[in-house]
Amino acid sequence: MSQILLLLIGILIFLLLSAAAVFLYYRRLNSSEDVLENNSQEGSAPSVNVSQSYIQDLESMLQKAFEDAAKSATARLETEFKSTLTELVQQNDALVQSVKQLEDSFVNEFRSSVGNMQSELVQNLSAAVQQINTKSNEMAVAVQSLEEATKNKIEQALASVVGNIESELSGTGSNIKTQLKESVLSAVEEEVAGFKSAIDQARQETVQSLTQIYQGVEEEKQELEAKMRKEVESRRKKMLSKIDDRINDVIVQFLVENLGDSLDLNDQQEYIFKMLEENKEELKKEIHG
Amino acid sequence: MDNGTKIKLPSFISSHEQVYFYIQELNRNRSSVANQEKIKEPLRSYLIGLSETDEISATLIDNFLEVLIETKENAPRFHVVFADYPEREIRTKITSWFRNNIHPRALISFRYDSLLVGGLVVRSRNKIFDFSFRNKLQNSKLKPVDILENVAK
Repeated sequence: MSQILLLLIGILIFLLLSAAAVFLYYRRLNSSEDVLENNSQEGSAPSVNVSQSYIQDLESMLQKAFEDAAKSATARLETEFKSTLTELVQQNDALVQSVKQLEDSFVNEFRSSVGNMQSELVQNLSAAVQQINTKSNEMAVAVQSLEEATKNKIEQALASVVGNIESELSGTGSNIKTQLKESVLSAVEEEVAGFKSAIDQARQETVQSLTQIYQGVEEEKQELEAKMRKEVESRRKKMLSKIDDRINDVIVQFLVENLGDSLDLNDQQEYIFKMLEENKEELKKEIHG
Repeated sequence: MDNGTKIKLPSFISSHEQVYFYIQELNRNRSSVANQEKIKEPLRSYLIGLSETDEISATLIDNFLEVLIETKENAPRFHVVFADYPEREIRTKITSWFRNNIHPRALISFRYDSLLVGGLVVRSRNKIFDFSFRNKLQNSKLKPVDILENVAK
């Protein structure tokens, strides 16, 4: 606040100085016009050069005055601002110290009061606990007596109710028995009949599906048998052809192994020359052809 | 008898290899009479048999060489295979048969293959004549497989 006030005072001083400068300027201007009017009335020619230099002097003087005023105002403002700032700092320090003192005293007071309150509370609580204990003991005794009384009353009421129900039941029991028997029998008969029909239906369905399965199995069996016969036949043929391929070699080997040297070439001469004679023409063709 | 065209090829020279061997032998020994005496049997006896004297003349050797060279280059060749290697007697008989019935200078080389069981196989340049027992077994109308099948039934 004090800074704003100082600023406002400075602005007010500046405005006053400006107003004074403007006033002085107009006053000088009026006096020069008066001089000009006097000169014209005296019949002499107006001196334009004198008035212009005069105006310039006035302007420079005005500017200087304005600048001086501004400088003094700012210097004054600065000194005032500095002094107020130092004052403010001092005030702030004092304020901080007083706040600290206040805080310490408040904390001490608070602690003492809290301690007092705590001791009071503990005393009150122990007293309350003692009261609660005594009250609860009293309540337990009261509840026990109430339970006993209630139990006796309920037993009496139940005995009377049971006696009434027994007498009523003995009258209606036989009727209910016969009705129940009849209704149960009819329900059982109905259920049995429904069960029988359901079993018959299930049996028929089962028989039907079993016959279908049997037929399918039979067909598959026949197909498999046919396939197997075909496979066996083809394998037999393959094996026979394999045997056919190898059996001659086996027999030849067998003969070679068993006959050995016993098959003499001299004994074969008749056969050899017979074969040569039979194929003589073919052999000749080979040479001449 | 010195004329080469009338000389027969002896049966102990049966194969192409033997012809080649005797050509070498005669070329080695034809230069002098002393060498002619070194000609090995049975060729020596054969050549003396062909000569009108007891000596083997150079002309006879030349004529016989001509026959051998001609045979080596142009004679038809046969390979005869037996189940066992044939003795000389059979080899001679076979060679004589070929030269009497097929061609007078036919060359026969002998082989053996025990798998033939018996009989023979004659192989010429273009054809095989199989008279072996193995071939007879293989081409038999009664197949072993049929026999086995009948036994199985």
